Amino acid sequence: MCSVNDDGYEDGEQFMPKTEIAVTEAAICKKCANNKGNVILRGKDVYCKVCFLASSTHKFRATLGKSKIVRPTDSILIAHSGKAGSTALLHLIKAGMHESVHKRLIFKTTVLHIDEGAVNGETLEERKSRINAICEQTQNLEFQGYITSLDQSISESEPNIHTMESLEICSHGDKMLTDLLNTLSNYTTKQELLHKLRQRLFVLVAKKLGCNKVFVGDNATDLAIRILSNISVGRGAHLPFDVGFIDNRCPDIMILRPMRDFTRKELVYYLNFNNLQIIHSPELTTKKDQYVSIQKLTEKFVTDLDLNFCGTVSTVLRTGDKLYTEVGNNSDNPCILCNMPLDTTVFDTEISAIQATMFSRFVSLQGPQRKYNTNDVSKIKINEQNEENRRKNDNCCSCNDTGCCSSNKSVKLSYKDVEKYLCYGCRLIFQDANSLNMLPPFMVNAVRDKMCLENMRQEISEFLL
Amino acid sequence: MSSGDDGLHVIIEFGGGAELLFDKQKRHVVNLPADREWTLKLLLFWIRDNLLKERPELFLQGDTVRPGILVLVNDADWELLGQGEYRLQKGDTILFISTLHGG
Repeated sequence: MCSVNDDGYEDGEQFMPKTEIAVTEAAICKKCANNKGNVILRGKDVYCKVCFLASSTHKFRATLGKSKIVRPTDSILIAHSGKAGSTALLHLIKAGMHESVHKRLIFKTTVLHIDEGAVNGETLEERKSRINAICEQTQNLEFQGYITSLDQSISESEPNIHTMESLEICSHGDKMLTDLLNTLSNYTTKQELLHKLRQRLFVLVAKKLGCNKVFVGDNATDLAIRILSNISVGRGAHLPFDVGFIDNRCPDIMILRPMRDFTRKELVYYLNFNNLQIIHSPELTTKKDQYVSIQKLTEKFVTDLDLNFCGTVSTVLRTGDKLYTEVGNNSDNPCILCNMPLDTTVFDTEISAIQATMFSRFVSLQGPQRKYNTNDVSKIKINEQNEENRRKNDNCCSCNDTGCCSSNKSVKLSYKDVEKYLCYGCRLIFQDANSLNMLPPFMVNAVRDKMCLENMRQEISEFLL
Repeated sequence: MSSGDDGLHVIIEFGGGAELLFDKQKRHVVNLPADREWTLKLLLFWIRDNLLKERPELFLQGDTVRPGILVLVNDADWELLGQGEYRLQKGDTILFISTLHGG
């Protein structure tokens, strides 16, 4: 028993004293020591409007510059949701393009807005006015823009995109998307799935438009929240990709996060001082209880803590930056949803956390009355093997002279097959799904292709030297 | 809301999704009764009782705003002005911006 904690519990607050906010009448900007302060950062540093804006621009350029990844020849897709991060991002890039010659940003830019109105319960009217506002804003900043809707991410075909001039709303895929979300039982997995679908769509659209990099507007506070919630939802292995500056899980298209050094507060002041309006649209969890999902609860935790301990966001973020895993070894077999190398491959001799979790799940599902013996443990393995055999038999039955293996539609699938190609985090998203009809079509097709390839490999293996 | 010239005229604005709690109306021009000296803390309670349409727990926490909502008085951070203790002046613009995900 740990007596230190027990004793210290009562007066635990003495270890974490609140930072007192100094009330300074007419505080003067710390930097120019001349103007009246407008904003206080990190709980102690006072900046005036001019110095704050200058330091914001500097910070943005430093983030882009020190990575040395963005080249003048790049074609960049900027994801613009209308929220604070991406609005400030557009404005900063625009300003960067009008700098003096040697400082100018000279990459090609395209703006993409993903319409998620169907998920967030907006009416068609509301969606129209939001898209209108986004288009107007994009055009005022002289960017070329495209619109697509999130349902394009779940279909197998190439995504439909429209130019912003056309102001079109495609709502025919809405039902498919909302049906998919409705099969998930809780908001945590819904939010996870939406995030993964969004990321997938970025890459698809970037490919279609010939862009080689994507800028997203994730800010420091968002990322600090994601670090903690990612670990809670079983995606710790993806941390460097999900929160780092560079996400290069797709070899040909990189997702970059140039706003990752701005906190939400800084963004709000940046926009306010530049008279920029954010175009607000409701989210899945808007006006919902704070405990509705792991992400929302983590947000509450981080923002509550950050109020009294100003270093919270940066501490979490910098610590998260230092974490990495060795998971990138088998990159030839990525997860079909999130495209990360699978973290679920278990070798026979290895004892892994994932087996322990599976066992725990198995035991919990048996109910309180069951008595266990060691045979049960091996049952998990046996079940898996049966499944494997069954599938092989199925394939054989459907295999005939016409060479069915080339037409992959004939491969019969079960949910277990799909699960094999999902990473741990993505498995959790679909843990309540037990029918293939519930899964997005692109996933099912991806599994078919992969299994076909595997079968083929097995068939020809005898002939290989 | 009393009307008359003797009250304290202030402009209250909401943004970043906070307006959803106020019938989606972003800008409110109000005239506060002149019977007391108005501080920001008193104004918060007044907003709760007079402007807020639903879910007070999403706007206030204890006697201050919920963490994640920023308060700006005439474009300046309220932390510079003594937060709830700041005495409102005639014509002040008080802006509440939610930074929380989805407002």
